[in-house]
Amino acid sequence: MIKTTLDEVKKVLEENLDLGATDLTEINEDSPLFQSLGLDSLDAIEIVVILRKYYGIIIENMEQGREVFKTIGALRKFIEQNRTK
Amino acid sequence: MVQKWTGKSRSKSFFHTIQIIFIKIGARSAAYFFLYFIAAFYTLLPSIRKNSSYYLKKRFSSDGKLKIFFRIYKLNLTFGKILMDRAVFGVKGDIKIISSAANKEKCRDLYLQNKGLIILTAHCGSWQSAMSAFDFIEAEKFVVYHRSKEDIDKHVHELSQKSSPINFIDPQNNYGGSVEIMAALQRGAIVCMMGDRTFGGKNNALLVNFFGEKAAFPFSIYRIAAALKIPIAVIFFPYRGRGKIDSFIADTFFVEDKGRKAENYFDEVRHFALLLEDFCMEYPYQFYNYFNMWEE
Repeated sequence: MIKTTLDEVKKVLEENLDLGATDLTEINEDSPLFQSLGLDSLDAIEIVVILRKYYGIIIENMEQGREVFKTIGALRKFIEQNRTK
Repeated sequence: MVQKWTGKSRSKSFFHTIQIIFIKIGARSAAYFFLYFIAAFYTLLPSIRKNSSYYLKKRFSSDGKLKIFFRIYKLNLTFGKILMDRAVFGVKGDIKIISSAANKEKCRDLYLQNKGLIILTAHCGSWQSAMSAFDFIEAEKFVVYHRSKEDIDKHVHELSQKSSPINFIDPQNNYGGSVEIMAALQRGAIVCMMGDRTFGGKNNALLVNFFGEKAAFPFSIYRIAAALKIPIAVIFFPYRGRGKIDSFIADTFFVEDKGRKAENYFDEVRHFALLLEDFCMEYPYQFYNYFNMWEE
């Protein structure tokens, strides 16, 4: 397991998604991933790409994706538990 | 550009039931004969004429109202024949897909390059029946397809009451189906997508020339293909008469990863629109996108 902080995840999302005027300092572990960052289905594609490119994680089923995309904390935890790089 | 397609089926349950009864009792010719009257009935409905004319007025831009009226009839009749063959295929398993060995080999080679394949097609010809018979590559198969509650047309496997060889991904589900599509492709599946219909509003649309005017086409397909390095095969399935479906590969390509911006994939979207235009020039009565894709 490679320790992954919330700040690290926020930084990667900020660099790879168009987050507009979202104030990332107000985002915490429990913030809903899509609503709080104003994301849509196209951003979902980018998050799958980010997981693959930065962390070597492949999402292989929708159930997994549904859980992981609930909150930023869930995403962080998933990355921490599954990253290979 | 917001999706204006309503998802309503072009057929009604009454006619649909009669057709199925004809097919089940073996009176296929009677069912075909009956179809000429059904197509006429639909052509007289203002809503059907309106939805059919968006495309026909662009395809036959110099035609007057009367000519367009007869073309609408021909479009609906051809569509009826395709639905009929789909029903026959489902009930009796009787259909012939014309596909050359070279085409099959090309698809297999493409698939094996990165274990995954996107079949890009459009709402034209007999795509639904053809996908149900797409069995020459051993892999999970998905079709990205939204079926509204009002849609009474049955899929081939529902008519045959056999298990479906294909699975469906609804683009109106979570995240526009995009995560499900990518998960399937990353597992090595074959995913069939419609290159002529956008879901999820203006963010997934690029405007490119289609029959001389700007029309909305989705771009996320190309972004997914680029990000996952999965090849695309553009395949159309023209109806070639009673019980016969052709399949031809219009093009195959990999998409270079150009990042997330929609406009970076303009060339790919335009290329697909051109291939679809070519198809419509050759088969003018086999494009069934019953909404105004040119509307701003």
